[in-house]
Amino acid sequence: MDQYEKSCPLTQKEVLDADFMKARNNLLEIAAFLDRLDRAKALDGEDDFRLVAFRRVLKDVANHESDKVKRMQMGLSDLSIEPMVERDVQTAFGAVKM
Amino acid sequence: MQYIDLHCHMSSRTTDDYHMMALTGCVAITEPSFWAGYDSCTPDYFRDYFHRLTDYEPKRAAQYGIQHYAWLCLNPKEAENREMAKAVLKIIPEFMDMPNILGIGEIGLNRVTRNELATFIDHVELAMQTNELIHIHTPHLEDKYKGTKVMVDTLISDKRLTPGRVMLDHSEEHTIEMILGNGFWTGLTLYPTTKVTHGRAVDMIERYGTERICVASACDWGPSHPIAVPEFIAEMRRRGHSEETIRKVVYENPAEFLSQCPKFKLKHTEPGAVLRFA
Repeated sequence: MDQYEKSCPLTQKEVLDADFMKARNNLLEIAAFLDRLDRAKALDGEDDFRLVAFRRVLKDVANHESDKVKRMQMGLSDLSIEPMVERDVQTAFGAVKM
Repeated sequence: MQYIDLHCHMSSRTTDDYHMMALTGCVAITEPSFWAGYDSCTPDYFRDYFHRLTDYEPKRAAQYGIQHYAWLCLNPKEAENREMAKAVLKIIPEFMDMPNILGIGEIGLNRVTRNELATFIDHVELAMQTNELIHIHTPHLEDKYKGTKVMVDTLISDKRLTPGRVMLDHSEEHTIEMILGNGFWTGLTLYPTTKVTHGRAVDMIERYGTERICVASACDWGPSHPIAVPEFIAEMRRRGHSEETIRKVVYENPAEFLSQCPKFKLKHTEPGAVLRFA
């Protein structure tokens, strides 16, 4: 049993009534983003680490297991523990650069 | 409902923002030392900046009835520069006795480098010398898990340190358990894209409870929202959480953490608030 079962005070129907339209819109935005990539005038990002990671963690949304956000976060995280020898860039990318 | 925004960079915001925050119930804010958006050329910049945090900003906030407190450090974004860090560490003690300074922060890691870690440890050492509260920035995006783990491991190996006097801020779903599980305080920062939305913040409150958790806007010069805490309050109400639960997160918890520094004294007391430190 999921230890967080029933931690949300709303019923599923109430969550759907309140959040379905927003979630639906977010889902369509993701689909449109992927379509835009497919329609791009040059397919030069297929191996880009961000797109590879994005496609990989997207599968987690569709499965029925709990802790989807945490698993997606971990899928987009650097899991090494050794500090970098020297700073490469100032700002993070959102996925691990291989 | 009155609230305390524990993390806002008001030096980057307009006076209109203070006005909106006051109108929506903000009674006190704390401003951690920040990065200007570009690396500083000289340590003298920090003397000017610390002067602003300890003199000009408290006066500006007071015009709207908001108490302004601050934290001092060299922000992790510039921590790679060890020479600059060492120079700034010498300037910080000049300002530590100012009446609105609560401790050292926001120190931490950015890209999780050796130099950043060395600068982080230097700041912890400085804090330990006078038993200051510590406010910590955890890195963003792909660096968050690694940076949080490196800092948690570093901090718990230092037996002089009391985790209850340390806030590890910007936690998310994959770092919150590690922070709370080791006895630290944490903050959920309500930022539109790179941190936590108010919906996800409420999800985390529902999952992990209200002990040692605060929320803040973390508003700065980037896309951010100075009245993000009232948005969080509205989402909590929409989900049916009690006024007592909401008040604990947005008022009592930050007051409890910050009151470990004797300089933090609230002029206003939220009706019905349970101030356990009083």
